[in-house]
Amino acid sequence: MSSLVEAVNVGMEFDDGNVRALNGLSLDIEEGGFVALTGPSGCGKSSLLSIIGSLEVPSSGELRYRQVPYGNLGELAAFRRTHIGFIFQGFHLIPTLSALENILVTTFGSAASARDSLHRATEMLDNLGLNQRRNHLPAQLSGGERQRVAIARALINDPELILADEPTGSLDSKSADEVLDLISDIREKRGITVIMVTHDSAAAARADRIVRLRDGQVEPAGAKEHL
Amino acid sequence: MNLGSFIYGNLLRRPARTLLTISAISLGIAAVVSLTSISWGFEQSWQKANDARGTDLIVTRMASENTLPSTFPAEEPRRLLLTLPHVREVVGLFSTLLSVSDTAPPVFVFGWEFHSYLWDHLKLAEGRWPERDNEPVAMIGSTASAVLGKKVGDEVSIEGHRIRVIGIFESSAMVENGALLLTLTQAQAATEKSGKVSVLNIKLDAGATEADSVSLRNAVREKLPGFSAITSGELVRSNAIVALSKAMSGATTLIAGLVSALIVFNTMLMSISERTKEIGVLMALGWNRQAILKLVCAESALLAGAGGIVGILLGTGMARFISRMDLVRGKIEPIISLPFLVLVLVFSTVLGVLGGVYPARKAANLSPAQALRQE
Repeated sequence: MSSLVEAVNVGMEFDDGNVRALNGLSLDIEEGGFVALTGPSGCGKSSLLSIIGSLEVPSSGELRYRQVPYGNLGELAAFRRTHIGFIFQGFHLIPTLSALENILVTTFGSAASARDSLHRATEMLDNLGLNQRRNHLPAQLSGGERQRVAIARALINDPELILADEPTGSLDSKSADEVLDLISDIREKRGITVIMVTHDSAAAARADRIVRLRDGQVEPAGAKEHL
Repeated sequence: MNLGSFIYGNLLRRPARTLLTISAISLGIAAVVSLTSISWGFEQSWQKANDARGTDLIVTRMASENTLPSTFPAEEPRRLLLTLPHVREVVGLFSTLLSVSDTAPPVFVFGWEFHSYLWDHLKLAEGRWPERDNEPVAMIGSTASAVLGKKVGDEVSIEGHRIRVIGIFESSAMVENGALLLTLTQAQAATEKSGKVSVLNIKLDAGATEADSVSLRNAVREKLPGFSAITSGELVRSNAIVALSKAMSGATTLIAGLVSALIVFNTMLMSISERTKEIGVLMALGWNRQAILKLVCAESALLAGAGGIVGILLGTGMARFISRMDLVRGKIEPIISLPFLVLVLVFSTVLGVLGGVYPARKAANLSPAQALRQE
């Protein structure tokens, strides 16, 4: 399989260099893979996810997407919109928008027509069993339902890469299992690459590769079978 | 779903703040609309009154910039004016503002030369016209009749002189409808200003050109030191009260504009501060700087636009209410023109956008990762 994301000797510093989140990290993510990023708090998992998602620029090193350095990808907002889907721990749905609108908000600026986007979002809600909840506000949905809406939002623009930051962290075990089933299913059916940050070993076990970070670097023997 | 419904939802999310912001902006806009329409109405009421009389030029004292020109002896200037080329008629006019009853507000009292062209545009609604110059009677405008509660046969008191009302007239000029009208001789006698007038109205002959009018004005300046011959428009524009009301309206517009922009600025800054994480989410989802700028500026514009609409309705109502107050009724009719209201709406919306520019830039310059970390 070809490399989708490649981090080469990436460093990330905060607070004028007093805090070092990533310390010369190198990592290769293959296309179509399901990678779990694990490690203790403060090891740099979320920073790495932010950098891969082009939400932050690394302090040093280089990051490439399909061999193209991030600096040459053009407008990063457009890159995120067309290539990446984000799933957050706290769902981060817009409280004033309905479930359907929360999905459609991602399509602003996309090439798809409003009609096509609406059709697609409605279809997604149907597939996720949320058709009856489409006009409900986030506050009227359960945690599991909110995360399913967030997953639909991440998928609406047909991304190549899903970045999930503790997607089950705010859910009960039943909802967490459902969400992980959903992510696995989507990844298998659509061939989307998934990078998931998790503290939960059961969630990490769903991935086909586990990358363990410590002190801003990848620990050796990151493959699942080596855990 | 479109950007509009998203913006609408954001504003409805904090109804109290949205309502307070709209209310504050609308009060400023209402002040602008009411004051400006009254100021224009004041100017146009006098312009209409002068125009309705068919006067070509008005001779007045050069320093007469009060609401009503100060009086001067008419005889000498009149004699001299009649010797100038193209002058067909010179008619004296006396005007003052007086209380004519104990309970009613002051009204304009005009004295016009008997049988002069000044009377030609009036229509008799009831009663009769004066029959001779020295007949001690008064005509009353239809609005003044309603405001003062005086009808034909009633008496009015002018400077202690009791004068009987013999007719009610109607004019195309509101100022005249709200006035009492006497012959010039009677008005001078009642106010003890015998032989004096406020202005002299000149009617030129039919063959007079614009150049003749200019020559005449120069001749008046040369041969009647201290006097000037001006058009009715110039007379109104030089009026101190008109100038003051326009200046006040301009100052109110400036202050209301600044306050409105600051209100929008404050509201949007608070809103951005509270929604930092949400903006981070939008950026993570692929919204670029321009989209965030557009979102915040459009919210600001919508707030200010709504404030503008409410302010226009409020201001129009205030202007109409003021014009119906007894003190003002029959003297000023506010001018509320559609182009002006559209301009006010555009003005308030533009101010809203300006007030939203800094908060919008602040939001658009947020780092998505930092915004997402915000609690």
